[in-house]
Amino acid sequence: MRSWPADAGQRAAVPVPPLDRLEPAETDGRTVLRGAGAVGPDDAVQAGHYPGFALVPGLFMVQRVHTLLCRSLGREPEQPLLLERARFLAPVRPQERLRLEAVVEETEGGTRAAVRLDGPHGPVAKLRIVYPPSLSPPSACPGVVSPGVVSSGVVSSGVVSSGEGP
Amino acid sequence: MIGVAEIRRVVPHRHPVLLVDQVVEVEPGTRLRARKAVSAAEPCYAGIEEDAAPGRHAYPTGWLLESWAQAAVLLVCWERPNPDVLTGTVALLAGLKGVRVSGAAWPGQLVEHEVRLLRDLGGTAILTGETRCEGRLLLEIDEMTIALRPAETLRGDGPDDAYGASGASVGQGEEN
Repeated sequence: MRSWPADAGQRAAVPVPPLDRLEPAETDGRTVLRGAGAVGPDDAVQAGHYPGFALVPGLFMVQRVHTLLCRSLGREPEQPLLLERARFLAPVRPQERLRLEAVVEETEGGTRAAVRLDGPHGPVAKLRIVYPPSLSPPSACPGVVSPGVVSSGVVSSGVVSSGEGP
Repeated sequence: MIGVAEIRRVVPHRHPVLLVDQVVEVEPGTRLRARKAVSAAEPCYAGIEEDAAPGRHAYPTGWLLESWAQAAVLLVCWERPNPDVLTGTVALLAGLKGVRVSGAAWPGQLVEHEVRLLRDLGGTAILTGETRCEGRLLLEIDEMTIALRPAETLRGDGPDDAYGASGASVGQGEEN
């Protein structure tokens, strides 16, 4: 029987390094990205999810994967995306060491990533993410301008805006 | 207006990852509208470099989705509340299908989630909905599957598979 002891994954004797980078490898014309480490949020965040039994929110895992993929692919993380499918197969404790493998392919519809996350007991999540080719910003950071372009309250150039801000 | 005190009676999420501030409207078993105010004080902004690009302050997609998911759990559990994951029945995210992220929210903005229950199969609920921010559509979610399981499942002294049949039903036959 699979088991998650109450103290497992919370305080390992040696902290598991974070899953914070992916290494590329080329396999049969496809790009494969791999990484390993813990995806658990810090102690303060763990306290709220959940009190007395810390679990990594599945969608925080998605965020970590998205951030690492964007870094590897040279994309901005606030760009549009399609999360075609996500399956969460087992709970993850904050200090569990996960292995990530992403198979990335360029298609007409954009960059597709098939991601698998494995934990100590087997697969914990499978994701399919598509990054569309369009790089138009999804929305503007309201009122944000590039440094040095605001003079006496007048935005002269370099406005980061798509007209969707308030 | 249904505020944080009432929300805390229904779901186990707590500060700093209680990501729903207000339930605007609820029709139990059918739909729910909820709001969340995005703040630069949230933990997701901790450690951002002084010279970070403006885009780094977009509210993280995963956090926005987690906020929507908490609204979904609120709807599913409205008439069977359980604020303690160590007892009773707990709600586990089993899967997502067709999530389109087309916009971002920024600190200082208010986002509003709409959640609709598609099917409630007892141990599994399937929901759909959107998130908007000041008139802009940020998220569209075709399906989110939530599995309701005994708390023992999480502690490891319950059934083998925490997500049971529901996890398998999401994306059946479609491997990554």
